[in-house]
Amino acid sequence: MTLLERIKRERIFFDGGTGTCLQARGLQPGEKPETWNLTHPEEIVALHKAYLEAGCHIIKTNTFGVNKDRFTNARELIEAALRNAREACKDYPGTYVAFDMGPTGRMLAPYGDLDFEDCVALYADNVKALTACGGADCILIETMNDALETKAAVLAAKEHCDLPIFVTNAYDESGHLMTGADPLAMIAMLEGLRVDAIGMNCSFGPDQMLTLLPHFTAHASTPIIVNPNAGLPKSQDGKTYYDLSPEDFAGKMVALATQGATILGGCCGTTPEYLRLAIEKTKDLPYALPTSKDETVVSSYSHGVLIGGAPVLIGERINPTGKPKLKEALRQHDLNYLLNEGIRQTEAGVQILDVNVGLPEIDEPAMMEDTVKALQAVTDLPLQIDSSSPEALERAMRIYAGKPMINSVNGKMSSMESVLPLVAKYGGVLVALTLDESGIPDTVEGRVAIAEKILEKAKEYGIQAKDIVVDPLTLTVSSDTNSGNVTLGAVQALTKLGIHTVLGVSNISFGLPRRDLVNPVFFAQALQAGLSAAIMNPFLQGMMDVYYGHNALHGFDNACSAYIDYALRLDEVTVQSKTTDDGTLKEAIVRGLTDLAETRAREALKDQAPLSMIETQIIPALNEIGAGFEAKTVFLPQLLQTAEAAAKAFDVAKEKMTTGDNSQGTVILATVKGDIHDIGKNIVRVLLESYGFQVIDLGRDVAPETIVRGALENGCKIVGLSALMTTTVPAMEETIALLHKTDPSIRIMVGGAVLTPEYATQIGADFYGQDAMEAVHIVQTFYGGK
Amino acid sequence: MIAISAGSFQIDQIELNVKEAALRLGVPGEQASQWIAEYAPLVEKEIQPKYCFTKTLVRILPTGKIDLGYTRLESKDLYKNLSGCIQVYTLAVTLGLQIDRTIARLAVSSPGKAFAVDALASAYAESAADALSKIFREELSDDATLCPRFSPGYGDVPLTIQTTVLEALEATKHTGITLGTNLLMTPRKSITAFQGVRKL
Ligand code: B12
Repeated sequence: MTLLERIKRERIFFDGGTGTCLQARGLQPGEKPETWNLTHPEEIVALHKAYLEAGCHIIKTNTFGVNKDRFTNARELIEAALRNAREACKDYPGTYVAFDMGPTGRMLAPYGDLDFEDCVALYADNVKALTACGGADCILIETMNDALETKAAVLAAKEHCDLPIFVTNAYDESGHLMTGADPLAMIAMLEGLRVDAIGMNCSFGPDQMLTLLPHFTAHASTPIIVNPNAGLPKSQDGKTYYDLSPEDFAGKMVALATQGATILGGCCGTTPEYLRLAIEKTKDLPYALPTSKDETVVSSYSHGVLIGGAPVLIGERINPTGKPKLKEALRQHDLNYLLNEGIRQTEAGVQILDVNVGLPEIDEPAMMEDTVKALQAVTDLPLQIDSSSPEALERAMRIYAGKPMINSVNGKMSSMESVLPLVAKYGGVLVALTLDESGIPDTVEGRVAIAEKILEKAKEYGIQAKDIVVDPLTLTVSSDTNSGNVTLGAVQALTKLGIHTVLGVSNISFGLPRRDLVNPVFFAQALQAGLSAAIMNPFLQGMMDVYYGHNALHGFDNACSAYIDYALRLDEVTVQSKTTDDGTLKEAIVRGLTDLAETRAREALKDQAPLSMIETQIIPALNEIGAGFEAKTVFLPQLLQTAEAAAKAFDVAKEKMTTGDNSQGTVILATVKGDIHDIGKNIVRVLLESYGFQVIDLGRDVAPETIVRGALENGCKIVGLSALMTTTVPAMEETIALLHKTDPSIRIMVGGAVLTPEYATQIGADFYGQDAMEAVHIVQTFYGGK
Repeated sequence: MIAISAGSFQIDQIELNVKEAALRLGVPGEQASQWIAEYAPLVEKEIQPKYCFTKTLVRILPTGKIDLGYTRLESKDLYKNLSGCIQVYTLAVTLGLQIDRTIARLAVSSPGKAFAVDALASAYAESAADALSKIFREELSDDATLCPRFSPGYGDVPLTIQTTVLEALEATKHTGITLGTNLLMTPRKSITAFQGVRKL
């Protein structure tokens, strides 16, 4: 009987902990257990045999920490470990060898420095060695404490062999992995990756696992593995011991087996004696596989979100359609702007973020991968990867630290054939659009029929109905007044069939004025019709009103507490903005009060021109704090807060400034390498733009080579450089020299508080501008106009 | 293999070192409390301090090398620090990855807050190590004292020893601390150190 058949029929046992046993057999402090595969094969075989003798069914190869970064002879160690394990099993029919892979001990980027694909490659090397040496009965990926690293190991296994894959993670006493994931998140991701058995090992011993087991039995459909330590580690007289006796341990194993663990075994501190007793005590207990669960779950590195219960909000703001600012940010690869949109929506209360970075002129797959990587570093929300490019989808799905939502597939054969295999491989909850080769049906029945067609096709790829959410499409009522009815009718019909639904609700009002009036009404009606999730704008109060109101009215909000919180928060905001009348804009900036500075700036602009506000309020505030910093009466944290408040006020001013027609010529701007002061440069930019120049802003802390490349790529002959510190003037000089050397016809203007006209000439600049207005004059003269 | 103890701290077991906080924030001591009051709650919400340590015999070999039980190394500075010691603690503490995430998020949405939270978190990491030293002190017999902590990277002890220390402590398993190719630790708010036990 194969291992896979066996685990679905009866409870079987892994062996116990290797380390502690080898210590007893003479492993020295500082010596790595894996080296014993070669140096003491007889001890390893004897240990395996002791577990088999105790009644264990699966033994783990002694390869936990092996990888080619840690062991130059990784390959031989793996070969020897497999040889030892097989040797031991030879005399025990019906037993199995699990090829063991543990964590790399490195942290994945961006927090650590291990690149995702390098991590996959590290595991892939082991898997390739395994197959070259004849394979095993399964791969056990164990003691993993990071969701993304777990995924890397699983992908490596899937891509280089066909063996069953078992995964166990190490949860801490809070019930999370060290890097944050809870059991629901891991189950969602791993079942999405079609792992064969899932569970937990190591950690805090069987008691803690008993408290976590219900999460597994509630959400997992695969066999559940539980391999605990022999209690908690204690040390006495320089020796580690675990605080449970074999009898206690066996008692806990009975409880674990009774409550649904289907594969048991041990980890640190569990000698053959522990396993022998545990097997003996559990052997007559009835066995039941976990039932298959019908839950639709997407997950992030930390948690899962269920679709199909309370309605789920999906933030729509990271999508360039109709958003000129976001388009600009994408063209300039300004991830910060995107990240801020993500963070603000998270704070506004959505549960999932839609990510769409499609623009014809950019490399969408690369941008999608970069954006997803950056976003999952700053938000814990699951992401909806939204693209019509299968390549963009795949690149993001690969590096995504969980089970993503995928937007979308439609009823066209070409779409299904390119997207369904991706979901089959990486896992995900797929949004299915009800359109196909013949367009969008204008009847409810037509849309339902396409949904059913997609569900049917998905089955061929092994994708279950629970992993598909149907979008019956929102078309604007401005072109067909019946379209709202059809969409709502389709939501209702699909809901009746037990199919979850999602809509991009904002579309309903496309082309109408005051869309904020129509959208909430449509949203409320869609929820009433049974809508499971909405892709929407959480910054529109009306939409959030509907959401909290609906949940309170339909039993999704226990004791109406979310609604009450929301209502109180709204009140607070109105009260605050009415009563905090203390101080001018300048004072707000000096005190570093970002929110107040924003409010004051908006007020000021009612009767002041943006430029005059900058000159009379923002710059004097910065000067005052700057002087204080120099005199050591103001310190860095305060300086930072002031800069932030100033930047906010400046953003408000920028919104009000009209940008010209971009036809007067192009200018490149940058703050030089080593310098992050960019407020002055930003002012220069805005002024130039308002005079009709196109500005290519390379940002701050920009290397000389990048600036040269920017000039060459854009055929731009005038470059503006900014520096605020004595220490960054040399970088400016270097940049000027490189620009002049590369193309002597390029002209360079410089500015920033640290420079003087003399200084500017000395470092080879062509022009010096004392302020932003002078920058405009210089550029106008350069382009020969006036 | 050596005997390792591991555990975690509740926030009230850690007493923030105000001097350290002022230093990290770059403000004069008397202004520190105002910043702490504003940002400490934010930091405390995002940290899950974990530690592990081992206590081993320390011997000076005839070659001048220091034998820590699980490894041997040569260092004049550590030798000085451990002089008169018969035992040494090797420790690792971390505040966890969540605070790194929070700082990264704030760096995008509010650089000012990011700076203050980052600075305070560093002070908390130091304070978590202090809390661990307190545990060591409580274990001491009456005729022994604890030396100052000495971290890899100080003086002539190379950072390369980090690999050995973290592996010996099984620090990834117990605390989630990992090492990059640059030998820096992630989570960033992590500390490893030696701390000798000196007989009086
Ligand atoms: C705000 C600020 C910050 C903010 C920057 C935020 C940001 N995104 O820009 C923060 C808090 C981050 C910061 C950090 C630091 N700062 Co600072 N900072 C300032 C401060 C208070 C104001 C600068 C400012 O924005 N002025 C307002 C703008 C509008 O003026 P401007 O930049 O000069 O621009 C105008 C003109 O110069 C001109 N212009 C500018 N660029 C260009 C370009 C061209 C082509 C042209 C034609 C014209 C032009 O037009 C602009 C509009 O009229 C100054 C003090 C001061 N009063 O200057 C210190 C100051 C610049 N900072 C200083 C220091 C030391 C630092 C830090 C090293 C502090 C630290 N210990 O960490 C770090 C450095 C980080 C780094 N590597 O760059 C010193 C520099 C000392 C020196 N001469 O070397 C200063 C002078 C304070 C001081 N007196 O000690 N700082």
